[in-house]
This record gives sequence, C-alpha cells and structure tokens, in this order.
Amino acid sequence: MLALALPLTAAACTFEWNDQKVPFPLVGDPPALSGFQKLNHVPASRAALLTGSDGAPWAAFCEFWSGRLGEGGGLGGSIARNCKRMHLTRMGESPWVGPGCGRTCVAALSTDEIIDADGFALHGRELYQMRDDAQALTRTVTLHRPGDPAAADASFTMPAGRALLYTNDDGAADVFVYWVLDPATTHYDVYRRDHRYQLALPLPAGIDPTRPEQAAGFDFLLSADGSALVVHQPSGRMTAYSTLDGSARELGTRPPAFVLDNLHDAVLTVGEDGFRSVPLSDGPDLVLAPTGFDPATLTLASGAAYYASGGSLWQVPLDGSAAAAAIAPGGARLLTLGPHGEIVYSRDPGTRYAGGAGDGWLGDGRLMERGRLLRFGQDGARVLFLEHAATIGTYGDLTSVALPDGAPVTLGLNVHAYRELPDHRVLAVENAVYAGSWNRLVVIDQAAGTKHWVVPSTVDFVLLPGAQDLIADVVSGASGYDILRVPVPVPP
Amino acid sequence: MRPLPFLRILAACACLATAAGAGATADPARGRLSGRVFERASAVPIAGALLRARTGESTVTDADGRFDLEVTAGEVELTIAAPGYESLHLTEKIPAHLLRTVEYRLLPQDVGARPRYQTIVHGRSAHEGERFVLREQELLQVPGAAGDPFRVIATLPGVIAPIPVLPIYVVRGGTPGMNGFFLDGMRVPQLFHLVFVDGIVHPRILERIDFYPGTYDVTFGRNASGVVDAATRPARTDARQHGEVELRLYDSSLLAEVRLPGGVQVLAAGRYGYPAPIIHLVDSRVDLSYWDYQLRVDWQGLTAEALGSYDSLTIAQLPTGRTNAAAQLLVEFHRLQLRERTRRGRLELETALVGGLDRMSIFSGEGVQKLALAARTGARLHLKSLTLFAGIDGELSRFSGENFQVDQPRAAPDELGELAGNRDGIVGGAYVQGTLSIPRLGGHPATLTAGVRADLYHAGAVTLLGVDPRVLFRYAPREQLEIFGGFGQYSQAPSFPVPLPGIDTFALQLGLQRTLEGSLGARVGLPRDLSVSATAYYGHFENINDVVLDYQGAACTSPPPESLSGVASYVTRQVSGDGYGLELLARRQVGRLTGWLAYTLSRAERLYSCGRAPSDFDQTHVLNGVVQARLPRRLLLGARFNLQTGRPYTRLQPDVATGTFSGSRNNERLPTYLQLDLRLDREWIYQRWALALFVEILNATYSESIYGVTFPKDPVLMVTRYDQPQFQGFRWVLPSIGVRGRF
Repeated sequence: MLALALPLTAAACTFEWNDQKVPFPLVGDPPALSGFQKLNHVPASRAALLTGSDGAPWAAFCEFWSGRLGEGGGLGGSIARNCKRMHLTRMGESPWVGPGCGRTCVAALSTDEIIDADGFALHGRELYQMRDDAQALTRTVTLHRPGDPAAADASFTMPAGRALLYTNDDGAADVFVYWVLDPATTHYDVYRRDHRYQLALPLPAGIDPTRPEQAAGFDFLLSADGSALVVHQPSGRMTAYSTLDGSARELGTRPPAFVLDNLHDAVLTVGEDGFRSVPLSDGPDLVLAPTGFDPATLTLASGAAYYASGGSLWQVPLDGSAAAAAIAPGGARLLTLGPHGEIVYSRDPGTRYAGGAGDGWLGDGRLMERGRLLRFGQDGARVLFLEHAATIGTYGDLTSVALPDGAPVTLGLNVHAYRELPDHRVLAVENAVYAGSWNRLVVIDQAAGTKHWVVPSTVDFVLLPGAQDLIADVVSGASGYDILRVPVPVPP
Repeated sequence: MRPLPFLRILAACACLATAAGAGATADPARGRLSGRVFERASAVPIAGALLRARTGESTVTDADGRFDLEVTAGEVELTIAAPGYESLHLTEKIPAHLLRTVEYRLLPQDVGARPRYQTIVHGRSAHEGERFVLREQELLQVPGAAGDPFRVIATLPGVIAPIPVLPIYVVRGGTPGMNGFFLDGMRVPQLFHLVFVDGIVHPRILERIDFYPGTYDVTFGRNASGVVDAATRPARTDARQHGEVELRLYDSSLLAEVRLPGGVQVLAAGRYGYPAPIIHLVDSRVDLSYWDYQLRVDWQGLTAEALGSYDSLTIAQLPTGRTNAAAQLLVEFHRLQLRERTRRGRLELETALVGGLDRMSIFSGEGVQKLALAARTGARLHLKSLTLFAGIDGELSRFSGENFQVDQPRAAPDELGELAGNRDGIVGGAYVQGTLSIPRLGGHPATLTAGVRADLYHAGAVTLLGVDPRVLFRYAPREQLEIFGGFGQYSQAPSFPVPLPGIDTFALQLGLQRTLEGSLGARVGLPRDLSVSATAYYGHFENINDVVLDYQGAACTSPPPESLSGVASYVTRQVSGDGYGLELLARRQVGRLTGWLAYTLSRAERLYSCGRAPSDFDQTHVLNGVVQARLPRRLLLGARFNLQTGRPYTRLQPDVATGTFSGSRNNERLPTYLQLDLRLDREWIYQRWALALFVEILNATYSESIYGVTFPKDPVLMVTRYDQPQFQGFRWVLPSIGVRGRF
C-alpha cells in the first residue's frame, strides 16, 4: 500500500491559470513601525488635526488608559466622546528633512499638551473641554487653542447635564450654541469666546427640551463667522439675531428648509415660494428660481447653487446674476466641480445606494458606475474615486479615469481613504473592508505603475500641510491605535 | 405467532359465488377458495404468500397477490404466511361444489425484526468508501430528527453540529462549506430548509441516504470534506396508488403515488411550512415560511424529476435602523433532471441532464441568481474480478446580481462583493477508477479501488485544475472482521462558509481548497446483532475557506482575502490546518431494542497568523446515543442524547501597563452541551389505511444553543472588553405533535 500511496500522493496536484490583472502589485517589504515617531504614550483613539494658535498643525488624539480597567478613569473610544484625556502634539516643520535628523530629532522638536477633562469636542482651531462639578451641579466649558497658555483660554460655566454644542464653522469655532438637554431647560444660549455678548433665546412653545432635533419646523444656523444666528420657528417665523449685540431682524415667514449663504450674507430658502435668497441685512428677497425642489439635492459651490428639479440638474448663481439653467438632463445631484469648472454629477439620488454612492457623469460620459468620494486630480487631468462602493462599510476600489474619456484604471482594492499628493502620486489605505491590522497605507504612482508601502496596519491617515509628513492611525494590540508621524516617501 | 383478535374478522369481506359461474368441481366433497392477499392499511398485493389448509392443500399467491385453492369442503383451518408479515390463522367454511371468494390482509411485521441501519464499507453502491447507509421507515422516527432523515446525519460519527438546532455540520475538522450534497446524482446547494428543522425533500420518498465522512472514491468530486448522497425512489408499483397526508404544528405535507398504464410511475410530494404563529410567540416581527416540492416520473429506466425548495425569513424592521423597510432573507432553488439508466451485458450506463435555478437575497434586498445547465454520464464495466468505472460531468452557469426588493432605499449591492458579480462559470470533471476483487488474499477476500479524477473550474480570467488520486481498500481476515481504509486528495473551488443557493464558482483567484486525507478502520460483528466499528482519520487542509465565528474577538485571525470584498471578505479566511481523530460506533440493528452509540474524539487545528491553534469548530468529544424500543401495540419509544465539548473562543487578557490586550486564539471553550430528545410513535393499522400519531420533544433539557461570542464595550472606559466575553445564544425547546394518514 505504501508503494502505491507515495506515487499517488505525488500525483495529487492543483494548477492555476490567472489572467486577472492585479492592480498595481505591492512591491517591497513593509517598513518597521519602530522607524517612525510614535506620538502616543498608550493606545489611543484615531487622530484628528487641529490648528494651533501659531498656525501650526497639531495632532489631537484621545489617550485611553488614565485609569485602571474596571475602576473608571478615562478612556476614549472616539476622538471626543467619553474621552477623558486629550493628547495634543504640535506638528512643526518636518524633522525628516535634512541630514542628521530623524526619530530622535522629531522627539526633541515635539511639543505636547496633555489635558484631562470629563469630555472634549474638537473644532478647527479650538479644543472644547468640559469639566463637571458634581457638588455645584455645574459644567465648565473651556475653549483652548493648542499652543496657547492656559491663561489665554476662555471658560464658561453652564448647568450640569447633557447638552447640545454647536459651533460656527469658519475654523475659529469661537462662537457656540449651548443647549442643556434637560426637561427644565427654558432657553438656549449663544456664547462668544471674546465674551462680547451672550445671547439667550427662549425655547419655542411645544419644543421638547431634550430632543430639539425632533422639533418639526424648528432649526437654527450660525453664520460662518458666528456673528449671526438664524432661527426658524415652528410657526414659520424666521429671525436673524446678532451675536454681537443681541439685535434681531425679522425675516418673515419662511419655509423650513434653509441654508446660509455666507458669501452673500443671506439665507437661502426652498419652498413653495421658490428658491430665494433672503439678505440678513436690509433688502428685498432675491428669487433665484420660481419653483421649489427637493432641498436634499441642494449643493453650494463656487458662488452658485446646484439642485435637481424636473429630472435635470440645475445651476443658478447665488448673486442672481443669471437665471437658473438646466445643465445636466437626468442629473440628480452635483458631485464635484473641476478646477476648470467641469461639472461632475450623478443621475442616482443620494438615497439610492448606501453611503450616498451612485454613478458619476461628465457631460454625457459616465465616469463612475456606483462609487463615491469622487475628486479631481490636482491638474484636472483625471478624476479619482472609490468605485463599487455601495456598501454598508466605507470602502471601494480606488479608480482613476483620465479625462475626458479615458478607461478606468483600478489603483487599489478595498480602499477606505485616499489623498492625491502634489506630485500626483496617491496615498491610499487599502485592503480595508473593515478595520484591522491587515489595513495598510500605500503610495501609488499611476504614471510609473508602482505601489509601495508607507505604513503597515494603518486604518486611516491625515496628511499634514505641506504634504511632507502624515499622521497614521496604526492598529495596536486588540484595542486602540498607535499614532505615528510618518514622512511621505519620496519618489524612487 | 398468535394472531391478534381483530385479525379474525379479516375474512369479513368474503362472499359466496355459485359454482355455476365458476365451474363445477369434479369431486362433490370439495370446494374452491379464491381471492387475493393484501398488506393491511394499503392496496399492496402480497406476492408469494403461502396459503396452507390443515388438510394439506396449499398454494402460493401470484404477483398480484391472487390465489386459487381447491380444498375439502366444510370448515377449513387456513394459515396464510408471507415473509415480513405476521401469519394469519383462520377458519373458513367452504361449501361443497361452490367457489368462495375472499380477500385477506396481512399485518406487516414489526420493523424491529428487520435489519435497520447499516455501517457498510462495501456493498452495491455506485460509490466506494466508508459510508453510513440510512434506510427504511425508521429513518423517519429517529428521535431528535423531527422526522427528517437528513437530520440523522448529525448523530453519526465524525459529524459535529457546532450550533445545535441549526443544520450546519462540520465533518472531520473541515468547514460546513466544504461538504457536498447530492440528490439522485444532482448536486444541490442544501438539504435542509435554512431556518427550521425540515429537509428539502419529503421524507417518505427518500430511498436511502449515504453519508461519506471522508476517504470516498473518485466518483464524488469538487468537495473537500464529507458527502451526503441521497436517492429518492420511484412511485411504488405494488398498488395502483398510494397517498399520505401529514399534519404537524408547523407544517403539512402531501405525498401521492400513481402507477399508470404502460409502466409509468408518477410520484408527487410537497410540504408547506407555517411556523410563523409559533415564532410570533417569541418575536412578532419575524415571519417565516418555507415550502418544497418534488415530482418524479419513471418509465423504463428513464427518470424525469423536478424539485425545488424555498425559504423566506422576513423581519419587520432591522434593528440597525438603516432602513425602515421590511427585510427579507430569501433562499430558493429548483432542479429539473432527465436521467436514463441502462444495462447492456456487463456494461451499466447512466446519463443525466440537469437544469437549475438558484436565487438568494440577503436582508438588504441584494442577491444573486444562478442559471445552470449540467450534464453527466458514467459507465461501469463489470469484468471477472475487475470493475472499471469512468465518467464525466460538467456545468455551465450564469450568475447575475439581483435586487429582489427594488424599492429598497440605500441599497448596498456591492456588499455581496464577488458573490453577486455577473459572471459565467464553467466547471467540469472526469474520472476513471478500477476496483479489483481478490477473492483469496491470504485466504480471505479483499478489494482494492484506485482512481483519479480531474476537475476544472473557470470563471472570469481564472482557471483552476485539481487532480485528485484516491485509493481505498477492504480486507476481511475473519468472517466477522473487516478492515478498511483509504487515502486521497479532495480539492474544491473556493466556497462560502455555509452552502447557499447560487453561491459557487466565485473568487477563483483564491485558488483551490485541498484536503489530503487518509483513514483506517475496522468493523467487528458481535453476538446478539451487535456490531462495533472504529475509524482513525487524519486530514491535512491547505488553503481552505474557514469562517470567522467571532468577528469582534478576531485577535490572531487570518486576514481577509485581499481580492475579496463585502460579505465574502467578512466571513472568509484562507487557512491551512489539520484534522485528526477517532470515530467509534456501536450499534444494534435488529430486535425490539435498537440504536447506536457514536463517539468522536477529534482535533481540528488551524495555522492562524500567530500560530497553530484549535479551529473555531474544534470540539474534542462528541457523543451521540440513539435508542429505540418497540413496545406492544405498535408503540415506538425513542430517545437521543447528544453530549459535546463546547467550541473554543478567545478571551484576551488586559495589560494595564501598556493598555493592550493579549492572548492566544481560541484559548477557552464554551460550556459543554447536552441535549436530550424524546419521541413516541403509535400507529393504528386499519384495513385499507393507517393512522399514525407522533409526539416529539427536541431539546427536552432546554439547553442553550450558543451561536457566538461578543465582547462588550465598556461604557465608562469606551474600550472593547476582550477579557469579558459574552455568550450569544438562546434556550429552546421544540415540541412537535403530528398525525399522519396513509393508504
């Protein structure tokens, strides 16, 4: 039997013929993680980027292990929620440039801030810290700019309890609405970092103070610079309040769908009375379009509004200098604008597929079948997007299409995030159907047809201004991440 | 044997006829008795029944159960006897010179007197290899199987049901997706309705179920683990028609059989399940329905059959909140087969053409549809001591992604990844095998079977070829002792962890799964109809598609295949490993007390990214006991118990200093599982029909089925507590009561 077994076993075999094109095979070995600067002290949450008071970027991440397991203390699963310790690290000039520098040099140049609090919120240039006083039943909200001394912080004392925090979005985040989510709440307030004025507004009748987001017809928006708060009451009455002095201007009865046009200091409303631009200061309405549309399709870009109506995508300049015009028959929403004004749109509504995926069209040419995260290359010569991304997760196949009518080229599979570098190479987190140590950050050079390792086990990254360095979130242990500062590889 | 009292009235239908009509007898002291003999509760005539008068006259019934007996007139003591039936003793009054026409009905013997399950390592099957053959009516009455013969597989050696109540089986350390299911030679994606306890074929049309745990011959291909080969039977020809109706709490079934003129036999069966009212007692949001059908027509070696199965699970609203629409899991398949079997001298031929439609959609409405056309032919040539067997088979298939719920917002068709990609697939295989019978090897009989098969798989830009040689042997050094074994390669295309309709011939770029397996066993016949068998096996797995049972505790798991996406990527792991163990089976096949005891000692290991560890399906000890007692009044009382080591899971330990968790994969085990099932059958046999009542309780011990392990998120620390695993399971008990009428 043995004599029979051996030749038979030797004959057992399998063969494979695979003509499937592997997109840009990964070459080389993964670099050692120890070669990069590790910013965190213990496993951390994923990192975000703040801008310091001196304009330098700061990495911000929550560090977990301020206490012991089971004894409370402070860990943060996300960047802000339930985080008890925030670690800020200044990302100055790239220390990797120049001879004699390196990991040691990086450490020497680093500036760190470790801040403990009961909660955090990160907004552009501001770190909001919440500290609860269980005795006094108060909460102190402190606004801190990375790099500033504590004396420069601004603090506000609020009632204790869960609250809604909403800031202006020009980057400064120095004006905020604070709404205590408590049944006893009777008003909500607008605070300014400069303490110039505190606007207090009563809650409209019938509003559940614990669920303001569910109040039909009630909404408010801060202007980008925080100088104005526009409130739409359930009754339809719209009012613009100055956060500088508390003055108010009645804007009349308006439909509930509205956005702010910060460029023209106006409110854009969509309703049965059409698409209107209502100035925050004095002046008559500007009727941008005589009929309404689904406000979910409205996008503002480059001084114009884009929306879907009547089976077409429409464009109208926000200053009213031209009438609304149908620019793409069949268009359901704008995806992006090119550097030369090219309009890429989708014929799929944003709700058709999970994650807002859909097709992508440039004129009558279809660029994308069912993708998302479509962006123009920096020279406008190609578009990049995640194809076949109608998934419950956040991944797709990174695809490049040369304009105007190039064939799709797959650069990476199961890509979660990507950024194009100034030299047209593309950083991408691939092999990322879901987060794990198998995720990796690679750099793809489409022109050269190469793909190289940048950082293994990376689930996400942030490219620092100047594109010389990046911050990588690297899977560490079974829970939490290591935050690494990594130089962007130079082209070989 | 003493006839039952009510048998004395069996001749009630006898009637008198005048001699004029029947012809006068020559001897004035004699008379004639003419009629037919049937089986009770049916229209089945009994051929070969012996009628003997005490005065010495006798005759034997013909093929239609007819007889004509001339006896001395007067009171005649008669005995009617036939194999498999209880003898009937009665007295007839035979008038002189007259013909008396009668109809007798014999009661079938209690089944305990007949051979039952057999562990066979050789025989007249079309396939060689160690197998467990399940036959006969008793298949329907095994406790714990809920009347479904396929469920009996779970009680056999080498089989692990990792999640009790679910029909998912792991055989000899493989994965569920590596098992193969064949029905009348057709490859079918499933043998069970997915979400309840029934098989997809009416139990009473199954002629046999052969279960091959491993080391089978080359006639089975494209599966790298166990094979279940089931066969339906043609409509019975012992009567013009048969019928059966069964009603249970959660489903009903029908069976009809007709013998038509010209030798055409038609059989139709079906089942409809309505378990929703029972399920609503637990969760009103869940609706479940299933049905299946079978139609078989036989005529002179030609068989046409159609069968299908459908399962629908609807949940009113998914807890994820991703959609407010009802979510539906839909699984169905249909097959149409035309098969011809002929024998010309020493040559046997079988040829078949099969068409198939498979559909599957997941909760979000996306799914896949498969249209397939398959063909196969096999020829067996019997020479003096050598049997040659060769055959080819293949399938052309077209897969298309489907959205069966077109109104579903935020659809995620790409979530199915490669499973739903539009593609055409081609698979084909060819095999050749020889079986040499050696009547006297050292004075004792032996056989040696050797063969090789090649299977080709093609889809998209990838083509795979597997060449699988296999060798098997049997040797009987003693009359009551047989030694058997074999080894070979078993290759398979990438598979979904759980077999589902329409999910095959995908992701070929992952390469073939491969099992190299060998086994050696012995079977000993013992007194009192006892037999004991023992089989040792070892299998080496390469590149098999494992499944992740614990998504969150996946420390040290192998990474998802890079070239896959979506669901396939979530659940598929390519790993290698080994499986080895010892299977013991002791059984008593004949008598009033029958049953078996099956014990499997096994180890299944995988080479994970951080080293060798127990497989997620590794269960060291599995003990199954089945006992059936035949009591008076046609009562059949059965019990089955199942005791199995818990599956492994991973518990990580926190390191406070570094804030990390660490530990080995599958370093702990779920609790040992014990399940007891009880069943009681009672049948009343009337003249032309029979009524059966059965009561069954599955999991009378109310044991908990644990299907997974999750790790909580610490609400304070906001960290996943891998050191605090939580078992996800449910306690259940399934009582079943039903009534069945047949004629």
